[in-house]
Amino acid sequence: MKRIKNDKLLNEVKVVDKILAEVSGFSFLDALTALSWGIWNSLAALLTICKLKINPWIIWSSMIFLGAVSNVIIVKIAFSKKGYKLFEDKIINNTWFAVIFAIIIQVFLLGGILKVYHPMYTISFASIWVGTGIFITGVAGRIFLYKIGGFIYFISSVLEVIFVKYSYHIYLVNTLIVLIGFTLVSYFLQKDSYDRT
Amino acid sequence: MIELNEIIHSKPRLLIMLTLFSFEECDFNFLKNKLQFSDGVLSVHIQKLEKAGYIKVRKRFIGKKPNTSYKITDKGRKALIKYIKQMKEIFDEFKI
Repeated sequence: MKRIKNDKLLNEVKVVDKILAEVSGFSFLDALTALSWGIWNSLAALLTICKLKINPWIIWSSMIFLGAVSNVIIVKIAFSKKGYKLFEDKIINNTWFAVIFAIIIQVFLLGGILKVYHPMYTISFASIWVGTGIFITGVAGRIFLYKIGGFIYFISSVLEVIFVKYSYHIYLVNTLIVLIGFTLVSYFLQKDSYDRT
Repeated sequence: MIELNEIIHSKPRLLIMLTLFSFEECDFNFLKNKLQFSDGVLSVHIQKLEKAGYIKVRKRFIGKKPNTSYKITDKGRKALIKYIKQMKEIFDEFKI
């Protein structure tokens, strides 16, 4: 039988593949989500280090709240500008909300209200969750730098426990490197875009 | 004899379904620009798919602008997978 080279379904799939290839770049709006978390985290760490007369629990609660609000706004703007949402976007958003939920329960309820552990360990517990979030984001979005970033966050949480006095300093450096530095590198190099090939 | 799904077995509707299958959500302008359909063509085919329960329409305002976006439903996903399997059977039968 004569081989039919161009079949209907195959051609349609090729069109969709082309569309997917076009939209698979790591856009500025994708980068902005991580950057906003980096900015709020760094700000909270800086304020805590500066020892202003503000309760650290208020600083960190505000950071989580403002981070979450910024994230929701950025995701909405991103959808209206891009006109689409990838499955990865959904997984990443759900992961971040799970991470925020975990931090609120463990760090704020157990640590802040019930006083289960010393306030200085707050940041180490948060690091573990944020590290998990970044790592899962890296796996879901197939972003190599995020996988390393998640791992660095884990190492950072260990260092924060060993050098408790400098935990906020370590966290600040870690945040600047991973959330801000890695995101900017990913964006400018366009090397770590969602790899669908 | 294989009976193909009449709703999906049309180039524009198949393209819309395949695109929505690959994304979590897409809006009207995105589909129109990427698939290069006119407003009228896209609307007609979207209505047919919506009527069949294969896609879900969400109308909302983003800022002050109205935005209509589409998602594939579970019924639509199953129908598309069934269609692809049927096409594969046909290809296999004719050794394509």
